[in-house]
Amino acid sequence: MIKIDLEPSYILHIRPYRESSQLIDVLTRNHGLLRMVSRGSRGSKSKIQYFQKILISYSGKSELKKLIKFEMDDYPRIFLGEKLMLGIYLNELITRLLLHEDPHPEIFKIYGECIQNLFNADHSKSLWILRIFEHQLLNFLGYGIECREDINGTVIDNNAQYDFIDQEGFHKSSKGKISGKLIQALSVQDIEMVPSDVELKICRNLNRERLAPYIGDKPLQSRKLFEGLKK
Amino acid sequence: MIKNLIKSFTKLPGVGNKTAQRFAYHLLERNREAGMELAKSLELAMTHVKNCKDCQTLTENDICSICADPDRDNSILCIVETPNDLNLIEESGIFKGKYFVLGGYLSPIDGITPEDLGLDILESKIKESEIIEIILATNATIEGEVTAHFIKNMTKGLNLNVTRIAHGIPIGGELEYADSNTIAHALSDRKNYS
Repeated sequence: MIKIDLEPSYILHIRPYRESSQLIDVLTRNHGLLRMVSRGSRGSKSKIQYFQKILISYSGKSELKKLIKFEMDDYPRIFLGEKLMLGIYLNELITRLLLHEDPHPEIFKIYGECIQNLFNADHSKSLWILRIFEHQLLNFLGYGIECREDINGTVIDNNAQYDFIDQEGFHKSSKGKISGKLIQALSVQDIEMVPSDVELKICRNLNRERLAPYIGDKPLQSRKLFEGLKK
Repeated sequence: MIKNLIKSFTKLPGVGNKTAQRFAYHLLERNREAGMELAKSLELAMTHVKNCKDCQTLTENDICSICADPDRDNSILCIVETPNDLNLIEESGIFKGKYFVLGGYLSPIDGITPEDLGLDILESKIKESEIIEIILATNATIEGEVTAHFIKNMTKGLNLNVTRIAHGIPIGGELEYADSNTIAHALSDRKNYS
């Protein structure tokens, strides 16, 4: 029986399982995405929380682990309203893109930074933080694109416009929708930048196009729900 | 026949094979009368209980007793996840308005969508009636919160007071045994003490 003690983790999703147990999707620092069963926890007083780093002890050799105990290692972050929807999107994205038991300590790190930044952010900042996270996530999963140079090997010009060509990169074009400045900001993950609504939309569409091949045919439900909200 | 009875009992939540055997032999050996009564009640309930046309809770009539009660306040609507939640609020004795039972919660990751919950029915109900306040009494889980947010968003542009049930330290509870999330909620939702 393999037993792991006090592994730093974040909860991505909890669903009821049988009468009183729960199935929990967890992003661990050193062992990647895991699914575990928490027996008898539905009625327990001590509730496991989202968006908060926890230390989790678990055992099991098979794909479904058994949660033994957990303790909080962080302060609570209450995500309400739109921020909660963004948090749920973040979690769904990770559960869809990561393979089970494939360790990605760097994704664990950027997830922690992202929820902290989201917690402190206002509306437009929140969307920008999400776009940067998507960009980082794609990079760490090996689906990154060259953001310093265009497809001809010329350094991205802050004052020029570009088109995105799937699987290739950025192509300089006077009619291109993506500004060199925005590409640079994504590349250096500049969370201090305050993008305009138009830039946010361009960036959303760019990331959506980049994510599409890895998400598969089934659309992200949280994105659909978010889009169904009245603006 | 006996095996079948035992198997049927295991369909109840929290009842395993052993408990199911105890139930079956108890009824067969010691209390046939209660067994017959149970069978009759089950058959009647399974055949006649349906969803209230107004609030979606379980009832044997077209309209449940709460919706049909002329003394209940039509201007306040309390939205809950399950018929059992409705019963629990009724037991508190404090609420005199009406209800809407969602029959679940929104969970995008599990693919539970607004259409699955009949939120379109709720939307037309809110628009067409004399409601001035809706109370979001979904669970204090992440899904309950997403559901509450979605309904709140649905009411945008309508002249409605939307409230959420308070979250915090349980009555008789001690701070020492509360988790940090509950304490954070209790603090941020604190109210003037009078």
